[in-house]
Amino acid sequence: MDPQGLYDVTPRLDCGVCEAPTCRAFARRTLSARSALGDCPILRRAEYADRRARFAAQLEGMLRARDERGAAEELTGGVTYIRPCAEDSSKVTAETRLQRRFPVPPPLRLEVFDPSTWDWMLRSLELFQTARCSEDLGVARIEASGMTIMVFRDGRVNVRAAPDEKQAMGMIRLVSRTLWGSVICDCGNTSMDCAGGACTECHERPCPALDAEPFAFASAPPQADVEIDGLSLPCDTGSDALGDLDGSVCQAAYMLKGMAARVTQGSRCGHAFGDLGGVLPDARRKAVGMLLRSPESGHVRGALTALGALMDLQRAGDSLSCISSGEQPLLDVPRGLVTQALRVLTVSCQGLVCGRPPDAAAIQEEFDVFQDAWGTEFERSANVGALSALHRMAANGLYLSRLGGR
Amino acid sequence: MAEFYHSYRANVERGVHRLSQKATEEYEHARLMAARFIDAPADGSVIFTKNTTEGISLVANGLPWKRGDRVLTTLLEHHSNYVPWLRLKERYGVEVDVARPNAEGILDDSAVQEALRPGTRLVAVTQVSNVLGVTLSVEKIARIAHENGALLLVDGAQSVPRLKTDAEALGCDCLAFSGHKMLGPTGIGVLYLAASARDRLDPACVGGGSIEDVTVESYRLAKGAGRFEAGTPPIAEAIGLATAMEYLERVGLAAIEAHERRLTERLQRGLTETRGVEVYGPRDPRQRVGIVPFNVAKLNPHDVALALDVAANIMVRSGLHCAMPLARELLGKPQGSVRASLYVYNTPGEVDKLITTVQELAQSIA
Repeated sequence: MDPQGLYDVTPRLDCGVCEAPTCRAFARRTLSARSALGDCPILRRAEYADRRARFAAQLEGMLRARDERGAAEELTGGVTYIRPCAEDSSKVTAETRLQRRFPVPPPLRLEVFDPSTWDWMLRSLELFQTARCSEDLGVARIEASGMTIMVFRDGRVNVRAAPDEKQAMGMIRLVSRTLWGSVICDCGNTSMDCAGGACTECHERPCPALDAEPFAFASAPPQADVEIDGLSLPCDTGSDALGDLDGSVCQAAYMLKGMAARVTQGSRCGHAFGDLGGVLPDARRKAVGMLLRSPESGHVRGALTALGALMDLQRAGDSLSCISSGEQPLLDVPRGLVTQALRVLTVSCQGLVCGRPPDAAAIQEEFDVFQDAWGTEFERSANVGALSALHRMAANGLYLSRLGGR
Repeated sequence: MAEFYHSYRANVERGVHRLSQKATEEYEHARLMAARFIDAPADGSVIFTKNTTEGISLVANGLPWKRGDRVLTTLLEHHSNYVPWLRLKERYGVEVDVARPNAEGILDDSAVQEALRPGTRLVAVTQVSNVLGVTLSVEKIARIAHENGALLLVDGAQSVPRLKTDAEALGCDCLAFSGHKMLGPTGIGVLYLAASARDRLDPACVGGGSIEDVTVESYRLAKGAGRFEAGTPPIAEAIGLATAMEYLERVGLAAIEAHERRLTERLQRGLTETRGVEVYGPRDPRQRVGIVPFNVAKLNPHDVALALDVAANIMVRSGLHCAMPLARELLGKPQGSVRASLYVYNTPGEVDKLITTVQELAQSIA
């Protein structure tokens, strides 16, 4: 069952009102009945009646098809084949299917990875000669050391033109780790969203995607003798490595807080601060380096949590940039509503910066006040783009506030 | 097929009991149906085989060869209509000549005429290339072959399912095709043998069913198709193939051809207009059937095929398509290509989905 068709009908604004951090996650959550169509405030609007009807019809058709055909089996993981390449028998091709090691509801079975999170990971890596992803098709292609690696959202990882079996499997292990953040949890979110505090469900229970080492190949560290072109990622696996990474995340939070304060005071900011002056890419490289190379499971888990936080910070930064640069003009949005959203973000960032867990309950209260006012304004206003960006910013602030214990 | 296994699963031509009689009746009906489908006479000209490959190999191994004999084939052939001739070269010193098409895969009959050498005993050509979809003018090639005293063998694996075929009008001496390419089951094929070929062909395999009489010291082969069908034949598969042929007849080969042509034009236009996509074969879609090979930039064709499967539930063949000489020599693509094959069951919507998915692949990951 392919949630892409459902996602195509969503607003693709990732406002977070439905409690899913992205519209992709919302599409998946409706399949497993964790979210309902009515949870999306945008599809509830009169001008979206056509999309709402299409979403409902598509969802009904997909669920009916599942009932008629029976739930798809969770496919078996492992090595599918290792054999000489058809076009050059001196080289090796191999395919594996990576598998979640926790049960997921039947409608989510056929999609193992979230393509938009891969895309973000691949762009964060700056490691491979070529790394390209089609989010719509759920396919990524990586070129490295003369090998071609294809990753498919159903869990298949295919390596072609490897010099030998060892290099092929080493590459699969390496790529598998990059995929860990994009594995789809049973809640419908990605493990990176769960790690970043976006999931209320996994915030209140052990998250299966984070707690179960999800992939057979990801659990083992990549072999040291696998040569990857341009592999210059920082790979500090010492005891201070996590502290250093934490420092980078805090630095990014500090910068975002400063920008939010400027916007609160009425200053305009340019587009350029989506990456917070280069701090976010640096922090991502450190986190990905640790995720890929560290033999310590605690470090690997820490790296994923840091990546989750960095994704929250980036989404909040992008939203802030979007509304303050005038890309999504706030027009007649009440100033108080903007201030309240900025306040949620600022307080959450402050909590990260000062190294003390923020008072999550207090931030939740601030967020609830914001959301009530937002709902009233959304009913009245036609300014869907700006209001969505505003909510996305506040929601990602809220997610950050849940990271205290991690 | 299910009815055969449930109700009358018995051998043919061997028993007098009613189940055997019923099985024989259905099997022979299938033979008549196959003959009717290609407008062949119902005089034992049709024999059942496992597939096209087996049909061609029966001819290759059944004709008497001697050093210096020649076979003319083309660069467009599937391995099944190429390797048997190379094998004759290896075994008997038979010379193999190869007619070469132009860059689009179009093989002019003058190219066949030029490639033909004295001493050619067999011309073996496909009617439709399994890689490029290009069609060959078999009638003209038949004339050339016969004028030079050679037999003509036609690989009809791709053509018989989609083009109305009249075996006698084509002028071929042998015509081989497969059931699984025409909605039928796997494991069944047909070899049509005109009287001209039947008389010269020795069965590659003998045993039960293929003889008329056996004494302690000698045997006499059966006349007609039976001599080429030693052992228990694929009865259920033949019955299944006949049902598929009846279905295709009901739909109408002319209607199938027209439907496929519309889809082919749509697909060829869509792919050709996609930046980064290279389409092979004739530029004029009227010179091909619904087989359209392509590559997406420098992506490996297997990667494209996997992506189409996972992302869009589109199943295409990728690689060399059992035609390595063609991929290497004519296309210059040692990695091969992606091949989309259209048929009676495909729809314009499916073609559009293939085009948009290939467009997205070309834009996003190539």
